[in-house]
Order: sequence, then structure tokens, then C-alpha cells
Amino acid sequence: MLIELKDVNKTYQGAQPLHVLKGINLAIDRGEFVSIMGSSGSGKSTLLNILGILDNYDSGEYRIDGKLIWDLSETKAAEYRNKMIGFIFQSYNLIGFKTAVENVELPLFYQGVSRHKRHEMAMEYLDKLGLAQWAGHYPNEMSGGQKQRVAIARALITKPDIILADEPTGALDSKTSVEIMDLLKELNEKDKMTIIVVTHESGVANYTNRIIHIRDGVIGQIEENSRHDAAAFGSENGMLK
Amino acid sequence: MHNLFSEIWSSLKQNKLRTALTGFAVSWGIFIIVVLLGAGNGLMNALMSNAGDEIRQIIRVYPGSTSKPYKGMKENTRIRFSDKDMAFTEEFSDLIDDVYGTVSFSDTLSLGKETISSYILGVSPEYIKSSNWVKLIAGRFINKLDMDECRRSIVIDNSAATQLLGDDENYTKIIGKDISIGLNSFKVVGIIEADEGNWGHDSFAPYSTVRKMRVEGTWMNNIDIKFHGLETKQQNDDFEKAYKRAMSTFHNADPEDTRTTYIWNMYMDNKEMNKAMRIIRTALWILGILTLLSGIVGVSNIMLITVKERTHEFGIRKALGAKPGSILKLIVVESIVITAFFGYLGMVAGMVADKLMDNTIGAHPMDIGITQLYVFKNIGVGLDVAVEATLLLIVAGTIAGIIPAWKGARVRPIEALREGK
Repeated sequence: MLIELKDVNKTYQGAQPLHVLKGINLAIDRGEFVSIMGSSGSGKSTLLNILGILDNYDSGEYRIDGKLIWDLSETKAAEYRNKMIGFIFQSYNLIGFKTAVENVELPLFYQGVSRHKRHEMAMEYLDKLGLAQWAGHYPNEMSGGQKQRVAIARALITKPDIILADEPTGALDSKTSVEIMDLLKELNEKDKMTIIVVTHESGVANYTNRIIHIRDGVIGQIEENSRHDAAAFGSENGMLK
Repeated sequence: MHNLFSEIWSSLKQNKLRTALTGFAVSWGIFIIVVLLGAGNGLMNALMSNAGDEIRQIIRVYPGSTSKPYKGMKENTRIRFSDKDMAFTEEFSDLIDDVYGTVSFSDTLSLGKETISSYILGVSPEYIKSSNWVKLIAGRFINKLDMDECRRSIVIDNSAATQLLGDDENYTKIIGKDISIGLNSFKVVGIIEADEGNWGHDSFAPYSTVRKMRVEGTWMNNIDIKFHGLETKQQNDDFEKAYKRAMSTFHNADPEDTRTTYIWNMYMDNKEMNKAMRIIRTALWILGILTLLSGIVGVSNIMLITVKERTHEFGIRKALGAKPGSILKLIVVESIVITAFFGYLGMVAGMVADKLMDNTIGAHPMDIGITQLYVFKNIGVGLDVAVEATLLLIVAGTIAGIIPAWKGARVRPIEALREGK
């Protein structure tokens, strides 16, 4: 198993302690394309943060490829994130004063890859996503779909074990959403990328092969969706927004 | 390194005006430091035109006269120095390395038809080093060979040289020419600057030569004592007191009579002067640093705002694998780059201002009636100040950047990412 969570608990301390994750057990294999679905407040964002080593958990066990993710220093966590995880965010999170290619290069910069090599690889990935001619453009000169594809190139460039996509289509129109989801699907099928999509849209979740429902901090139903008949974009119960 | 600087460059480009305004405060601080120190140096150089010379450990002793009767000696008896005093002084203390005498007479110098009268001092080669009003402008001063071989060498002043040559021609032409003093012929070996405040002319010849010529004139103007090992004021005072006492006794005067000899301790004078200069320099540095401080606070403030503004960006960077150390480095180096760059502009501007001052107020002596006086001379700072200021800038930049950088490095990625939404 690539990802294993055993009885993971997380409580936000405060005047009123909030128990957000109540014993999560989850296993995701290499090459899977899964979605974690839940409404806001279900704990899916917290789960994503823990999966992405952006946040820590209070008890339980989280392993990536057998490596226990527990009590990491900030430096170590940064190193793991850099090597093992590629993030795709709803709001793209590109750096505004950097061009597309510079944004894609950034994870390699933190790996200490030489400038020349970095640029070469970034161009290769941009080309793969059909954005080679946009390499020198700044994020504010691009459409949402283009920005998200730059972000995908940036997530892919370190050849991570896992791609974590947090509402990847949340800021896009339905046509572009379809394009992005098709792209993720293709990455999973062709390149055997392990992709975890966190969403509240059933239309998005329908693209994945397995849908993990989370509600009130516990895993509910796990839906096998190899036939992709859960819900489609534009269908009556598909679009929640 | 290139990566780091291109990162910093792109972030500085974002806020050109803000960067420039902050930088100006730093430039101003360094500008003030350089100008203050430059002017201070100019003032000190003017005060002590031989600045830079090592401190000479020399005491000059002049004869005085008795201030009270003692064992048959009447009051106001003149004390005269002779060879015996030199011999006595040499034996006085182990701390004394050498004793030089100065003898003098007045005579007429002539070259062809031109004659002038001059006061001629027979001095040791050391004399020029311990008399900063004697400034050699051409040729050489009396040397050891002149002294040992009782050569007839003479150093005259430039106005005497011009008069002897009888025209406005270049006075240096007199070097190598023989001039007559009474029946003797002396070769001119060097030219000194004429003393503006002095009506007559001063010429210098070897002590040994003059001493030999003036058999009857065994009295000396003064004795110079070259010593070592007297460091503190207390040691110098004790030495001077003991020497005065010994000299009074030697001249059969009351040992407690302090007016038999006059002592001028150049070493202590220089030491006091150096101390005063150090204090002035320190005060100027402090003033400059205080001015710079407002610049540093400005940079620090700007860096804090920058960190606040870039929190989301730092979150992204951290999610992508930036370690806290790399964020810290980014901000500190950015702060140092701003400080150093604008500091350098300020330093260069300060040096230009120093040069301008040197060419204006530093180039023209002030006329105070009897003589002309330089208030400023060689305004400017040396390489040492440039190096010190550079180090100061780097330290200042680091200090300005460290707190903002610490804040930036501690940003938690989830919170920072949330902020952008």
C-alpha cells in the first residue's frame, strides 16, 4: 500500500476543542485514482492537509510507502513534501511575479537542481500539457484552465508518489473542468500516477475509480466507481454548486 | 547564489518605489557617516599636519633660570647647557637611548652678490622628525653622514633660496650650489618651507659641524632626549620630575627648583592628541550610526510588511518543499542586498562630497592675520573606513532582516495557503 492511515485522530484545540478526524482508516494503493468526497466541515480538508504533510495529527499512524509520517521537523516535512507529494489547488497558487516556466521550476529549485536542467525539465512538462508557448507568460496573463495546467505541470515535475488535488475544478467553468479532469484521468491511466482528488462535487468524484465519502470526521461509504456512473457533470445531481 | 539573487531581484522589482524610499534612508545614514568622518579627518589632519607619523618618544629640554637662591647661587641665574649636560643626561637613565644637542648662531649667507642674514641651527638628523613645523619641500635634510663627517651641508628655506638666486626662478636650482657663511662654504642639500610668521630665515646645518666652528659657543639651545619605555602619563611625569631635579642639582641649584629647565614632552603631547582624536572619531561614528539606525529601522519595517504581504507566497513555497532555512535566507539576504546596495550609493556620494569639500574649504587656508591656517586638510576617509562601513552595512542588513525573516520562516503552510483564498 502506498498510503496507509490507521485510526488517525485530529482535534483542533481551542475554547471548544473540535474533534475533526475521528479515527480515520484508509488505504490507497499505488496507481489508484480516488476521490475523497464530503461537504464542508466534514473533515476532508483536514484529512488532505494531513495526507499532504502540511499538518500533523494527534494519534494514529500515517505511512507513505511504509514511511511513518510522525513528529517531523519542519525541514524534514518540507523535504518529504517536495519529493513525495505534488499539490494541485483550487486557486492554482501560482506565484504571481514568476512566469509559467519559473513557477514550474520552483519545486526543483528546492531540490537544488541546476538552473539549466530545471529550465529544460520545466519546458518539457509545459510542452506535455500543451503550454510551451505560454512559458514566458505571467499567471495573470493566462486563463483559469491554463493556470491550472501550469499548476499540474508544477505538481508533476518532481515525479511525486502522490498527486493531491484540492477541489481542482472549483474555480473553473464546467467545460474547463471537464478538460482538467480528463487530463488527471489520462495521467492516471497513461503514467500510472496515484491521484487523490478532494472535492464536494459528485461530478468531479465520478471521474475517479473509487470514491471515499467522509462525513463528520469518519469514513462513510467507499464506492467502487470503475464504471463511472455515479454522477456526471451537468447531470441533475452532479453539480452541487 | 545566482538563483537567490534572481529571486531577490524579482521581488524587489515588485516594489520599486518602496525599495527606493527605504534605501534612501540607508544611503543617507552612510552618507552622513562618511561626510562626518571625512570632515573629522580633515580637521585632525589640519591640527596635526604630521598625522600618520608614529608617535616619537622625544623630550625636548630648554634651559631656564633659577627661581630661588640656593647655596650661594643667586635668584634668576641663567642656566646654560653645554656638552657636560649632554653627557650627564646620557648617564641619567637606562631609558634614554640617545641625546642630541642643538647649537645656533646668526650669520650672513651669500651667493655671488646676494646676501641674506639667517639664524643657523646645528642639529642632529633626528631634529626634523621631532619638529613638525620644519617641512622639507626639496632635497634632503641633514643626515648621519653629514653628522659623522662634520660636512658643510646646509638646508635653507625657500624664501632664502629665492632671494639668494636673485630672481623668481625655480628655487630648487639652489640645491647643490655652494653658499658662503662668513669664511666657510656650505653646500645646499635641501629646502624647507619658509615659516610665514617668522621675519628671518632659519637654516639647518649638522650639529657636529656647527659645534666645531663655534668653539666659544658651547652653549646649547636645547637638548633632545630620545627615550623608550615610558608609556603612561604617570611614568612620564615621574621621569620629567626626576630629570628636572637631577638637572637642578647638576647646576648647583635647589633640587626643588622647577624653573631651571623647561621640558616639552612631545610623546605625551602626541599621546594626548591621539587620545583626543580617538574620542572625536568615536563620537563621529556614534553620530553616524545613530543616523543610520533610522535607516535600519526603516528597512526592518519594510521587510516586515514584505513578509506579511508575501505570507501566502511563502505558504506556496513551503508546500512545494521550501525549508524554513531557505525562506529565512531569502529574507535576510534581501535585507542585506537592499542595505548594502543603497549603503554603497551613500558611501560613494559621501566620498564625492568629501572630495568636493577638500577642493573647496580644504584647499584654501584661513587667514588669521599673522599667519595662514588650514582648518581642514585632506578631507576624506581612508580604505579602513570604507571597509568598516561595508561591514557595518552587512551587519545592519542582517539585523534589519532577522526578525522579519524569523516571522517569514515560521509561517505555517496551511494557514498561509488559506490566506490566499
